Amino acid sequence: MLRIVNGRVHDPSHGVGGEVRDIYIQDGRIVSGEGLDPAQARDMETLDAAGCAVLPGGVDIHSHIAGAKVNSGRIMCPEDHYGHVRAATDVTRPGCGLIVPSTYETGYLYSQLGYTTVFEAAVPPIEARHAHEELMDIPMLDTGCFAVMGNNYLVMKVLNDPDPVRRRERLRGLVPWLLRASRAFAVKVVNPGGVEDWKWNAGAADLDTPTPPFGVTPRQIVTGLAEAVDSLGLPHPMHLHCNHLGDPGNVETTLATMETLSGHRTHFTHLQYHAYGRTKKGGFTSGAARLAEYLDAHPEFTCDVGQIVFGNTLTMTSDAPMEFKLHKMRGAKWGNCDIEMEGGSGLVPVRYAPKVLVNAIQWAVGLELLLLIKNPWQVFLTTDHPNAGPFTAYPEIIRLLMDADYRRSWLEKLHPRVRRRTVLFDLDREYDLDEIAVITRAGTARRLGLSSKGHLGAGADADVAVYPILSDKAAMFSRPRFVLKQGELVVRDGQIVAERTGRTLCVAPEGYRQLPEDLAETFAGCYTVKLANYMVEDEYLRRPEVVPCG
Amino acid sequence: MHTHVKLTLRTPPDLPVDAQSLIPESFVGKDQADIGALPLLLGNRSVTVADFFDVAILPADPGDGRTEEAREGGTLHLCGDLSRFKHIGEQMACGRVVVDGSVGSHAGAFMTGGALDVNGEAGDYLGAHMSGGRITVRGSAGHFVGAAYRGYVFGMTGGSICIHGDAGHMVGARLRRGLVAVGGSCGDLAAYGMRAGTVLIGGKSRVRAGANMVRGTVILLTPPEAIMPTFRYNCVYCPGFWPILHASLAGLGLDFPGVSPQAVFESYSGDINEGGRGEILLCRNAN
Ligand SMILES: [Zn+2]
Repeated sequence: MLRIVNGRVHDPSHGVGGEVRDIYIQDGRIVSGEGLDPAQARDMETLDAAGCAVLPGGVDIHSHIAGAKVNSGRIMCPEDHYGHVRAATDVTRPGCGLIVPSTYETGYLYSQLGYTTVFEAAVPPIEARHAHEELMDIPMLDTGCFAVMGNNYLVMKVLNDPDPVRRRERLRGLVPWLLRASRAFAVKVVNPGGVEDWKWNAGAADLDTPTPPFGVTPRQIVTGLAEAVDSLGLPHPMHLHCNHLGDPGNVETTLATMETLSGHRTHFTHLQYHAYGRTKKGGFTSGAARLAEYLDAHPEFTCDVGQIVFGNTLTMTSDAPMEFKLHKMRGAKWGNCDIEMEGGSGLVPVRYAPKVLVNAIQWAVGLELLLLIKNPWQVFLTTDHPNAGPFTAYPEIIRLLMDADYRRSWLEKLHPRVRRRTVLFDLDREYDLDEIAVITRAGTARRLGLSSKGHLGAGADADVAVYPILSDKAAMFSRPRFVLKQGELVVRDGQIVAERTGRTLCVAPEGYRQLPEDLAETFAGCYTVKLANYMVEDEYLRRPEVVPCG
Repeated sequence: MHTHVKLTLRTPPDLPVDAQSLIPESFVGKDQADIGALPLLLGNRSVTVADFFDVAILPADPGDGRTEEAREGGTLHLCGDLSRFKHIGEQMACGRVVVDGSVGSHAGAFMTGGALDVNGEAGDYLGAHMSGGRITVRGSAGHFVGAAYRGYVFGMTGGSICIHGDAGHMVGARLRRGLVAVGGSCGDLAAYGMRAGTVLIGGKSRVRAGANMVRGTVILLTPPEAIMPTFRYNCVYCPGFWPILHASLAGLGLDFPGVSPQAVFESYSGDINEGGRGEILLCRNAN
């Protein structure tokens, strides 16, 4: 057994807000200290957390850390690897990169921030094998991936069925089959219909634009999949990247999507990119307040922000048309991949600069969402790593949330017009440690349906992060005193002291065991792989853990 | 005052050596012991300069005083076959490195100033990403002279590279600014994807010179087998800059017998796939 003593525990799931408590750990789980013989307690291995905040291990709900596009990013951005090199130590392997780190480096960097669980947010089923191979190579973290379905040919073919009962029934069979084929954890939808639309050169998809080749609309795709996810009782709701990412005025599309989905549990990802109003001349403004108001009234919805981090980064998404637009706009390097039958993907390096008005507004919009949405259980901290910035910037963002004076000090570094186009600098709210614990671990774990993560109650996984309490919150969260993974000390004073292999989290809902004949025929006729080679086998999962459906 | 340090290689190593420390900046003002203790990487093992070289600190060579670079930053004089020593002169910003012998790959990469003179051969990626200063190679150089490393948009962004012998493939690939002049012949894809700047090839160039070039000038003094079909013939003329470039190359010791300062050139625009704003100048009265 192991105990962590004298620390101020922040466990919002159990209403514990900074009281000094001891945490007991046995066999990788947190156990109750009640009824423990004091002599026995004194003899066990003890970590002294005096002057520290004890939080559950961080849970990142949306990041891009493995798979085809991350690897393409590594190939495209050697400068990132030249610039950040880690030498091997007795316990760690060498690694490089910050924006698209190598696999081991990804695990180390997350662990050094106190994160213990991370989800890869976009894996087309046909690329899942590669994604899992990389996830297996990432130490220190429990991982899982979301299967992209919003532009999937088979899904659209089923949605095209005019009989609503049969359509629902078939989708309820197909979605579990795709999840099983990719050994994924949740259903991800990226620019529903829009990617397919672009591949047919049809232009940008609005909610009711019929998408070739079946004429299914984005509205039908999101409602169909949201219904299927709800009826299957998947632990995590539909994870939605809306249409028109990055366009001025796209808040209208986002609100219309929310209205369509009201009543269905939905997670709106990197909402910052979908929260822009439009001036009369077509310029950018913030639409965050309208979205915050909507979310306040709809507890079935959650979002993560995708907070902009100033500096160089690399955008990578299944939203291929958006990347093409970005490439044309910036003249930067561009990587593009047509994911046969299942969508697309693209990569473009970008630099977010505080003096560029659009970037400054984007930066402010993310913080506005975090500060305006009243319930912290509905908004989570992400940078959509690495799209809006690398996850290593989380401590800096936490400082912006916890320190209003520091936030205001940014005003002079930003483009002067940002003051008129956003409300950020009129907001005085400061997050406290409990709220930070919600948006970085408790809330994300709950939204992901992980009952053993994001809290410190008896029975929880012993993933724990202990931070020294400092007035500079960026310093506090960038160098944890201790990090425990499955009950083992892996980070001490910000340095990796042991390497642990995590688990792969997946789901196993009831659905098609085999594709029905017509879909199997479509598959055989159109895919470049055989059906028998498509499913990811068990050996591609390291220590799989099936999270039950409710 | 300035330093003149001479390192003489005793025995060439069997393994490649990472010699990033061999730039004038790391020698100025140091005594013999300090210099001997400078680090090198042999294979994956750390070694020192003294493990390979005899170190001598010389009085200022009157010959050095003539070059401005040496006056500013000191002279590092390397003797012996250094063809397994990589990264010599990498990131140097001032001073002068003279090598009596050959150097390995990445010599003068990311250089921002000063001078690197190689009285021998050079390896691949000579002067890759350099942004200032000048490199002279008396012998031949490998592939990717002044080029970009994989994945970068721009290669060399300033300075000049002058090679008296031949060069390999992709001379000046993704060049952004500056001059690469090759006295001898070169391999395939000279000036590939060049954004701007000047690439001059004295001898024969192999296929697809100027492919995907956006802007800039490729000067070919010897006619190639073919000009790419994505280049459009313009005219025959006598470029105003040629007498000046001719004279300055002669100053660097690059002479082209049979090509006079009044030479006449055929002009081609291309690569049309990239907008057609670049040019290839083909010397008419070369033999
Ligand atoms: Zn994302």
